[in-house]
Amino acid sequence: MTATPDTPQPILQFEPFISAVEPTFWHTLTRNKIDLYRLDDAPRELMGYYSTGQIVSARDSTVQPSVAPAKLCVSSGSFDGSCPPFTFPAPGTLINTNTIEEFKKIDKMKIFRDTAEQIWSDIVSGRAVTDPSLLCRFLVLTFADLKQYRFHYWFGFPALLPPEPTLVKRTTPIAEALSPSQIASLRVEYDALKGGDKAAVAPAFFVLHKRDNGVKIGNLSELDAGGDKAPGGEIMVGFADPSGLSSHPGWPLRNFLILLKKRWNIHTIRVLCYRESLGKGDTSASIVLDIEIPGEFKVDECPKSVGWEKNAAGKLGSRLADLAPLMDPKRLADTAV
Amino acid sequence: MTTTFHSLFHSAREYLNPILKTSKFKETGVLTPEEFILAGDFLVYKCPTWSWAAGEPSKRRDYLPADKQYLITRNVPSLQRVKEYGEVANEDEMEVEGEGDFGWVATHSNRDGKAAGEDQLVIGEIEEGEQDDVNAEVVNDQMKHLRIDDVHKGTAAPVPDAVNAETEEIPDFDDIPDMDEEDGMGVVEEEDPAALPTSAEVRRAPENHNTGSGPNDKILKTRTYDLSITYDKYYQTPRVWLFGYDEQRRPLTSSQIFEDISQDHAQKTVTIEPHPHELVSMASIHPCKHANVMKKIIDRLVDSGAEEGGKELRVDQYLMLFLKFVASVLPTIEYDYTTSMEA
Repeated sequence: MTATPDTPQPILQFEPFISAVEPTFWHTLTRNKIDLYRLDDAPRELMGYYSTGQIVSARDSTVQPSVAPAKLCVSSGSFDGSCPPFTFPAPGTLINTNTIEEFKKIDKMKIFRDTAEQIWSDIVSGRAVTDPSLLCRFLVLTFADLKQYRFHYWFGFPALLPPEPTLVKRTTPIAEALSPSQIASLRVEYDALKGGDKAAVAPAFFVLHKRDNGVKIGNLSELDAGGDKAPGGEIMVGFADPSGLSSHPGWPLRNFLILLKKRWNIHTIRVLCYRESLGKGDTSASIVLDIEIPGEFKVDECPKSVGWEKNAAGKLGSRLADLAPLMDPKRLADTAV
Repeated sequence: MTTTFHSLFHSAREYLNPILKTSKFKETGVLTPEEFILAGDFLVYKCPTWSWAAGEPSKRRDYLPADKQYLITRNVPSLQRVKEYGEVANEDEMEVEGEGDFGWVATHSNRDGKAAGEDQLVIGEIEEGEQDDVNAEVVNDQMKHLRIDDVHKGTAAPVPDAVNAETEEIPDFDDIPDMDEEDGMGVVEEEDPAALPTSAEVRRAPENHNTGSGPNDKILKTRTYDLSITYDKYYQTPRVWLFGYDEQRRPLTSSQIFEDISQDHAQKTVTIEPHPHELVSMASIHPCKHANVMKKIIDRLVDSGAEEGGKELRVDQYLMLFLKFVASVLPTIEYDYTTSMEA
């Protein structure tokens, strides 16, 4: 969607999540299916995780650095709610069907709708203000072929649709939007939000008060009180951005903007897309967006939603992981050299 | 001979082998479990992309803390295959003399731009071992300065979106076919102009005249690896494990993984075996020569440290050195070990 003369401000586009499943996830799913779930295909709670956008520098400095894709990861830890250091949690729902036929026939539109409605009700009730990770709620539909160690799966990352498309007025690198002292204090403030442990999970969504000589970061609930209206100050919002693109934000901003619109009826806002190289404290890949969210939600009904992950061919469809080579004892023995 | 038999044999031997109690890292290059923890803590502190993992509870080793069973770093990019890398880096490659096809290869010996003239290579003794194939090792000149940084400086440009090298000569598991399911399965979505199209969608839409450099072209399509380091009780050294994913995040087959291992080690020192802390098999660099190699590296460092004013090598720096050595086996897998050892 490029801008045409009829649309003076381009529609803001978001980089979708791609699912990243670690092999330990499949193994734990297999064990749980055999020992715990058996034929019970009731939805299960999961905890996925993501990190902020990462720039991968080429060794040759004449080549432009590339950007690592925005990944939503699940591993064996997802079953007991643990996430690796420097990552942000995303609650998920697992639906594991008993047969491939069920996997194909199950009412996916309803499952997706259910998840989207959970997100919406957390926005309406205010739960998403106290625990904004609920905005990143996702679903994964699986079928585990235990005999063949093949796993069919399909992720959905529901994004609620705004009344009208969101527009981006300006995209600015952090170094232009904030002064060096503000950037420095942003790092300090963000670490402070996590407490003493630099590897601890910080809130992935926050309020940012810009002052002359620094910034102050707080929790979203500050917006309920109208924010800190220091004279000459400016209120922005920020989020841990899984995208590393200099031109686009990542998927979690979508539901965050819906929260801003629905709860505080915000029309225009500056958003900091916070990106920090893992453990190195470099925030230079961050960008600041000036965003307009036109229209308003007239009813309390859950809006439409999108966000099924596309497969490798770029089409709506499931994916398949074949772990037979790495899990099947027979094949391991056969192929050993 | 089967890997399975070997693994069983190895795990039985590992079980019977007593735990190393006294520090011998300077004398023999081996580590006690306590020293492994110290070195692991240092690695996690210096390179926070590494973290401790608890692993599968049923495979927990009681000589290691429950929450510090092994080290892992995830989503490490591998921008090109060793073959492509080799084409541009061949002139840098120095094989240890006299060791024929079986030597460790110093792929980085010229990387820092210094002359290669200095005596950089240490020739390892040949020892018998059940995998009698690694008989020499290389110590990089940079090691003398107790610095671990920037080994890749001056190498060629990576080839993003690299086409896989041919693998016909490698006997292997079946390749994973492209097996994404049929479309849709009842799913219909609203038009979503706010979603950045994936590169596959851009390719399939010729009417999209935005063929130039869309934002998506900046998103790296590359293989990634999860690397882990376990403590091998039998060899009393760290041991490296690899799990790889293709550009579409599908698990790599073993022949694909071998493309990212220096040709001198693929299928010789690298084998597919059950991970000691997870219920999955992975590619692993066999540790039978690790102590030997580490001993050489440590000797060199201790010697040069004495010359330069008595800098002490601490055992917590062991894993940083170890990872630098592992980089010669995995030259294109860009895990983080880039830090100065001075601190």
